[in-house]
Amino acid sequence: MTISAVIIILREVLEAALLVSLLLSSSMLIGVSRRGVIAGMVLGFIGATLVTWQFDRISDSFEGVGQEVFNAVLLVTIVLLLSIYCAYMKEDAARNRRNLHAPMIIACLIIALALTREGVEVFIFIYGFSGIPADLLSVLVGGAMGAGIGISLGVLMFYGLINLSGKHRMMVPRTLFALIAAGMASQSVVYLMQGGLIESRLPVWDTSPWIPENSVTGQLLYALLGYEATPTSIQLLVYGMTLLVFIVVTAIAHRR
Amino acid sequence: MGNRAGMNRMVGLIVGVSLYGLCFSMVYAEVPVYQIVIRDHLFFPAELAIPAGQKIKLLVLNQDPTPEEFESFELNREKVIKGMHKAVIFIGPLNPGRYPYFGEFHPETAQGMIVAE
Repeated sequence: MTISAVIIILREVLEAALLVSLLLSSSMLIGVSRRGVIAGMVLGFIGATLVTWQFDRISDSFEGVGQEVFNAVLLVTIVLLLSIYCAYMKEDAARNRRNLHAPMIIACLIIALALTREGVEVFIFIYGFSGIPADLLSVLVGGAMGAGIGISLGVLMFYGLINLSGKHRMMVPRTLFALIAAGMASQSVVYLMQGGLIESRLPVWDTSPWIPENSVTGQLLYALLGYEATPTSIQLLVYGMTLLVFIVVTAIAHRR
Repeated sequence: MGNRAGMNRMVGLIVGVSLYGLCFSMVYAEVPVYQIVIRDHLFFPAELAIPAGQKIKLLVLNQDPTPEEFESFELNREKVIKGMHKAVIFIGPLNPGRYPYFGEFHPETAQGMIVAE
């Protein structure tokens, strides 16, 4: 029981922790207050609580595929917000006072939505064991271990990012934002296919013999790049288009 | 290029990408329905045969009081199913082969297989 709790919580916390550390370090980099990220974490916690409370109603909507619709909408919204945030990713953003509030609010919303999404699964998992005291303790211990590993990796990435030098300072976080967003956009397509809302196709390739999705590398690549061993053509198209949007946004932000 | 033109182009692109998503037509053709039951953290049937190359609708009935997550890396599917609830999951079209899935909340016992043939 403990091991599966470690894995479940780690998977959810890792995705959120990487995004939090990326937004925290970027906010510092462009001179924007970090309060947005902190407020986002509080809002995300409240969001996850509310969604867990209304989970049945959400699940049963849209003829039983409300969960998929909810996740897809949340992911697409996060992707759009990330693209707007990237438009503010300039070293001198803080020089223009007008530019200070918008990225802070956007960072807050991104974190709130991401934590809501990841938090719901954690809450439902733990809540499911609340009636079984014998299992609850090992679930909580395992969960704390998983959360600890996930947060540690986030902290490690945070210090890595703020210690980058020269041209890498901007390029690395921008690239990570684009890759994470592309992975999320591709994931939203999977949810729509799972809900039968768009037609699925046979996968284009299968890289699972080299990097299985359930391996540590696979999971880390999933959190960072949205790695999937057997993607469909629609996913690849959406992934590529999202990357293109981020490249264009960055190019425009640079010219201004 | 001026500020306005740049912003307009960016907004245009974002809107364009969003509309692209709507272009996929929502198809509600008749798809065959298959059923899996979760009981005592086990899947019944443990092995389910479905036709390859075709989309199917999977009904997962969780008859346990505890929640479960239907998860499969091979099928790219994951869905939380609360205790005493049912879930709808669309799968496929799949290449012929064996696709393991598991209950992420109780992986020690909840292991199943979908065989596309």
